[in-house]
Amino acid sequence: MLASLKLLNNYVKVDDQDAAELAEKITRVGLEVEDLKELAYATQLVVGYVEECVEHPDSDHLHVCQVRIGDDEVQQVVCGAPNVAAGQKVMVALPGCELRGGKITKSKIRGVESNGMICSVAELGIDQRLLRPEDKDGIAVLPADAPIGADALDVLGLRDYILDISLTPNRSDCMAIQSLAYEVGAVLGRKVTLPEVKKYDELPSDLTVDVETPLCPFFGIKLVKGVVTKESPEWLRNYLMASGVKPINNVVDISNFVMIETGQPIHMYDYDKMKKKGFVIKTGFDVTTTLLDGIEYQILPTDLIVSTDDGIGCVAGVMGGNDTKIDENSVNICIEAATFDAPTLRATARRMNDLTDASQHFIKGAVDTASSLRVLDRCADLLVQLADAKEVYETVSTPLDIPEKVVEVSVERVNGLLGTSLDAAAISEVFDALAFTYKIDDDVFKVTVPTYRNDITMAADLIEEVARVYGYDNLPSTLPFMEATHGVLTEKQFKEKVIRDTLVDLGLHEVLTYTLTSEDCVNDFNLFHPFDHTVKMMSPLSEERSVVRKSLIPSLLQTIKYNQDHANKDVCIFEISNSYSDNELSLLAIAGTGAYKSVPWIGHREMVDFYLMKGFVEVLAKKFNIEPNRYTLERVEKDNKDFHPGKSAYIIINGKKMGVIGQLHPLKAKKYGVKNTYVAELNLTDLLTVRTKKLTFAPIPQYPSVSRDLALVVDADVPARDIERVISRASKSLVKAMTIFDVYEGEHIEKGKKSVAISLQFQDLKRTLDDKTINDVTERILDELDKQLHATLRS
Amino acid sequence: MDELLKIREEAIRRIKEASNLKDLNSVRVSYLGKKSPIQAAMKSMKTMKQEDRASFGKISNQVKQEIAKAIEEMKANLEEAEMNARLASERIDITLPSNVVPIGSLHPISVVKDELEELFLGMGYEVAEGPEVETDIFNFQYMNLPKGHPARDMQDTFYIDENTLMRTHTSPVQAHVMLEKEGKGPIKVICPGKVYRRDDDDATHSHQFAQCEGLVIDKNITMGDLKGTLEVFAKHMFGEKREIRLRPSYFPFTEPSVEVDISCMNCGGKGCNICKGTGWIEVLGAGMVNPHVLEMCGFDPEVYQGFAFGIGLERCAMLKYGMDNIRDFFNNDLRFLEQFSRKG
Repeated sequence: MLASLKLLNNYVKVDDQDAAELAEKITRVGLEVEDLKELAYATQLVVGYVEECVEHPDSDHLHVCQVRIGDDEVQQVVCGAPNVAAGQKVMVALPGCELRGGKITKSKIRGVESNGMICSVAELGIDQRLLRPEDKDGIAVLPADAPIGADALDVLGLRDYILDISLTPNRSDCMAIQSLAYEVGAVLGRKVTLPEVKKYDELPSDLTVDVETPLCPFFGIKLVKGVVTKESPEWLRNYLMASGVKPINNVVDISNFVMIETGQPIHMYDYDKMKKKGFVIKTGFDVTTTLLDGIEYQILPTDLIVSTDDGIGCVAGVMGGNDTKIDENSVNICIEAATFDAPTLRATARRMNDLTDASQHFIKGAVDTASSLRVLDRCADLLVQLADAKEVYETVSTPLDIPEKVVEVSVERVNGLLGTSLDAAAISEVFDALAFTYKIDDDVFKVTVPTYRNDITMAADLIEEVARVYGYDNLPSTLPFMEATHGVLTEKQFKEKVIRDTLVDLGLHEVLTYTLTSEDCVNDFNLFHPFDHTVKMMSPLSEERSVVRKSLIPSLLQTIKYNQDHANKDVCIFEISNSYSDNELSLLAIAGTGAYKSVPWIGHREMVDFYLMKGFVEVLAKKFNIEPNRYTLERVEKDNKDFHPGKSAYIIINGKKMGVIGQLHPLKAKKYGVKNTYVAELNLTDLLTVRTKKLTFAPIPQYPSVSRDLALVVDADVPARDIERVISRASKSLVKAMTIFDVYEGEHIEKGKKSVAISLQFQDLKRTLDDKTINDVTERILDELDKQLHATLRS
Repeated sequence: MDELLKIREEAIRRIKEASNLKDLNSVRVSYLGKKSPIQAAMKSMKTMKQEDRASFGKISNQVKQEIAKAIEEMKANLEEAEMNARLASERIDITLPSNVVPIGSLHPISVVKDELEELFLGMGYEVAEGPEVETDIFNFQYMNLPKGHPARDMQDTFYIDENTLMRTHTSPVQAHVMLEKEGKGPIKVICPGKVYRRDDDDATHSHQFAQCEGLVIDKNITMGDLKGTLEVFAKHMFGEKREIRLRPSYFPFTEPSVEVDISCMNCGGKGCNICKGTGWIEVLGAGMVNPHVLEMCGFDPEVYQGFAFGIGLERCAMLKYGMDNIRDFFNNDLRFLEQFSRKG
């Protein structure tokens, strides 16, 4: 909201304050001043008298003026305005004067010396939308009695500061400058005075009010007759402009001004346009109607309507009807001040795309219903003063029955919550500053909450008042004094941290990508969630971010693509994130492409491949003590469309799919615009809850180990893992480790066969092995390999 | 006798002339072997007188020992020279580039999250998590934002259906934690996590970002405790010289509510373009848990009270590292990520 300091000064004295300092003080009590600016900006702008005005010898529109700006000083000024004439009092910007548009200097205009500029109102930096056409079309002609040489902004009443305040939703009451005045009063320790409202001899009114819905807690209407519509006085126009409202005419301006002052939106009806002199507030209309902006709107039965002549007199709090609207010829006017249900208004205003200033006041709760009758009187008073209203009629309204709100808070409670040691006197000071009335009974404050402070309903609210006025800077700074608690990560949190640290140590980069993805991608690589259950946004910002992802792989592929497009060719990344369908799963995805390690100057590049991905996964398994015999790799389906069917595998633990490792299917690689990319994805929710053995120390072997190498020939499709398994079982646990060090197919090997060279390490924990034992075990291993896999020793 | 001395002289000379181990070895063979001139000279001993024989034998042994010692010394010299020559020949260009060993990095948001977790774990806080796909009840209603509350407009929400949404803040985790505790304190948790707002992405807005909620509930927790705790946070995260300032604000789930500013880490409070000349930077929101929230989450507000705060992790990281575009976090450009491989 915009608040004029000059207007504010009518309620609490601020004209002796430095505007910037005041703004800072207001901010520190919770009303954040986002911007402080001057209504009009000009230095050294003075009143001048045009003594002579002749046409420029070398121009068809410029004038050369002799302008008196002091008893002994006349300056020559060239002016292009069409309305400049001798005998006028004008605003002159002298050389050195700063305007929003720049600094004025002495110059020659088409050969004629010009020592300044005669200004229009539009050149003073006022928001252009608020100005009248005459302010923009020509120079401002000042009143004839304006003293020559005086400050022109003062003469025009435009010397004012505007505070742009960002109000928190609980303090919408401060949309009313009166309410803001109480805050400023508390800050400065000054008294607030509200304007006196003159009471007139009121005539009995023939208007009727009939509220047929609980959505209108109060409705008041006041008839004023004999209004003359004309331009508002300068001071009123200036207050409106400083508040960001465009002046229209005195009647409209008064209704806007009263809202600025009190927070109560005012609507006016032309009394003479109403056939029946009654107002019915109800819902249930289902019609189309033209409102005062001349546009046709659909009215729904849920909309709250002020009905006149059985039609739409006003869409309550949002916009008036066309039939009863006031215009410059209106003479007899009904003034409405009411309270309407905010959610109902919000729905209507949103639908009609019309969040006007007035509807915002209702919706945000700026209205102080208790003051409604006074507001109507204030409005009538101003219409008498400024619009020549002749007759003021009695207000007709529903009963105004606002119970007094008393909230209690004890001194002990204040100190207990804030950590302070204030006494009752210190707390009283705060409540006094805020102009609250209260009683103290045994160190308990019983505060009668002012009706405009609808945010205060409980003790904590009063404590906040104490805290913010007393000042947060004055609070002590302590640490909680309480029962000791132990801060440890949960097992899941700890393990996720281990995964992140491990993968980073392996040289991968952790990434952070968006949870929301497109429907087109949501089931790609989806391994763990049901395909037909997708979490969809009701109103997404874009298709690209419309559903919650079920796999992290698409995001990682997009990240790889982004990097490759930005000249980062070798990319190894991972992410841990939640995914959602009908359940929540924590996933880990790894993706890589290009070189993992390299020695550039000898041309060595270790490329990302299946076995590297497998290595990453195995390191993690090892970290969590999931032994290799606990999991198996199972080749993906032949017709899998996400992964390369020959180079991809599921990770199976306890018969359950826990993850996948593999190369992208070429169709998916094409879709995501990447090449030679390998990925892995693990379901951490399940994987991290796999039961594993506790770490217990195993003694270091005392006896030496013996190595034997075997070169086997087997069918080409026998998996290496099967060979290892047979050896392991046949070795009666004497083979402590084995390493496949060569796999070969081709020349010297029968077609359809492959040679596998494997190194076995024999060891007995209890004694030194002799040759005979090793030979016997080797024999048995070869027997079993022959029997189970038709493997033979390579000759 | 002279002959022996002559042999010794000649042997020493030849030892000194040996330029390699092979030459030295042939010197050794010719002077200390069976056919050496010393050996030949010894044969003449038979013809000597008894007293001459004794002194001759003593001298010849002495000569032999001297020659052997000279050979050993020379051998050591030659071996060292040969080793040095080999080492010299093995010289490499130490300025050639190293093998490219990959160095990974944690995402900066994880770095900040880890820092927060470490700080608060050390002060006895647990780390709690909650669902990102959340119910309206937890996200809003338990946080004292009933349907139709104007403050709901402060957080434009991605709804999934009428009762389900992408959480707009980590505050609902407060409610999960409190309900789990069934009305019995104390509670001391932080809740880091992702949150979502229906905002268009630009340099300063992101539809997804990360927050870290803090919640402490017990019988005597004060606003002074909140202030002290946030001071510890500010100094830990942004440096020992940081100060904090509380400004009154409004959140439906806390009362009183404050915005917390820290003194500008760039200018130290003098005023610069980062703090827009104010010397202060807004970093988080906080307050004393609203009694309604305590009550709805099963805690008796007459017995328990506490504080809560919410820190924006992207904002922390941007201030800490001097970043100005929130999109950088989500683009994951390696040239960005690699900068965070360094620790501290």
